[in-house]
Amino acid sequence: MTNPAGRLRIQLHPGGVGITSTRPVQAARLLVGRDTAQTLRLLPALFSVCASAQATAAVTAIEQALGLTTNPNVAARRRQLVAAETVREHLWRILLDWPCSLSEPPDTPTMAAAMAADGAWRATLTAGCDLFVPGADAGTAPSTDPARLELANLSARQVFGLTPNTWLTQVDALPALLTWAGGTQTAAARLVRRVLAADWAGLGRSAVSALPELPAPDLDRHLAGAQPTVDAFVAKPTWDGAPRETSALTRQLDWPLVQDLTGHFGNGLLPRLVAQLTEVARGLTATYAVTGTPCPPPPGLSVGVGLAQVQAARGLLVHRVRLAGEHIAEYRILAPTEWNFHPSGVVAAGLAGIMEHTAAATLEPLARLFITAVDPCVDFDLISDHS
Amino acid sequence: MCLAIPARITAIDPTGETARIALGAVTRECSLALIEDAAVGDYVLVHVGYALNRISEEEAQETLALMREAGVLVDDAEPVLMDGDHRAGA
Repeated sequence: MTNPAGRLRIQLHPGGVGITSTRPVQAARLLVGRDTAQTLRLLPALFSVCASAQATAAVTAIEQALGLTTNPNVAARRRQLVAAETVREHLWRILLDWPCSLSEPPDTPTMAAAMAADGAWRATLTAGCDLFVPGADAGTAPSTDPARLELANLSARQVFGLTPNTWLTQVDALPALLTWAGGTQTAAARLVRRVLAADWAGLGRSAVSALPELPAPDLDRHLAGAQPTVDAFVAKPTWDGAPRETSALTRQLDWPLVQDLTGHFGNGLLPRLVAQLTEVARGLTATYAVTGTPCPPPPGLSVGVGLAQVQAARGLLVHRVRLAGEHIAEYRILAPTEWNFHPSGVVAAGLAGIMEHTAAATLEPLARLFITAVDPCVDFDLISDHS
Repeated sequence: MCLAIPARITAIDPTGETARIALGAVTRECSLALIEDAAVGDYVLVHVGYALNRISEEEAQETLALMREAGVLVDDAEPVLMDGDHRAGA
């Protein structure tokens, strides 16, 4: 049976890097003809790994298409839900994949505890209100949240060796990162230490640039055309004619530590790993995304059209909807994995560089670590014909 | 676009760490390390080899029907009929 989630096939061969995907990027078509309530129920069930980001993008796009301004408390709670999901997804990499790069077993007990705490955190954020109906109303989120604190404590013990807040304050540049990695025994710290010691920090750096902020009318033009044209765009998107990156790294480029690391290592391996750590720590702070402002529909869109841009765990997630009355006339989704795993994108370019600078014996594990540091949302096959 | 696939647990190994799951017309193994108290007959969402959480049979069948409608389940992907089982979407 084919895997319905699809897979990425990443091939390293003497001529370069080949990336092909079987991800079902046109699955949003199944929403056409359904009403908005069905759509909002089905989307998170179908795309359940990033359900909060998908639900937020869907309801925001539908609110825009209906001409509704999103309530600020609702917008803030939705952002917090997406932040919680982002923390969970990064912890998945940090706790399950990073130990494998150290030839250690995945830390499934901690990940199981993290998932339970994440579920409790999300329950707190959604208690007493349905955030995913158009025009929802809600009070401010609770100022104290035991489940978030539990997740912060778990991350302090098993990831940072410090509270996330202390880590953010103390580890502000490369020298402090070296000190932290040298004196902390978590798998995350030991991986950072190993990457630095082996001179792998800049491996995979490339000239592929970050996806800039996308003005809604410009993005709308790419997603509003004839189906074959839109299908081609969402499968292999480019912006201004070039592949782009949208990820934890591009989101954290302004954070002092990440900024310092990219100054030394460009968009190579270490800044990527540290951007994921940074995003976990920032997502667990009490003040992250707690205030909201009213979100009116963006200007420049046709009546009945909504275009939501949500920063999901792996990068920018875009939903575009066109309504005919209460029903979906068009639905298009543009997901971050298609930007980052574009055949000429940041993973392809990064792996080509790694092939040039890495001995055959370490190529495959390093390539695997680099790929997970960019973070595809599906499983992948890595095939190395390189010698 | 991160699909987690609903699947039915058909067997659990004696350690309780892995399960056989019916996923379409084939069975495969997945890890139970991230969920507690899974039992044979439960439906779980599976992502990159791990069972993520339990869902009801009704939710599982609805999601599978959606995936079939979206064309992401191919013809041989009908859930395996087990004793006392119901065929999805039928």
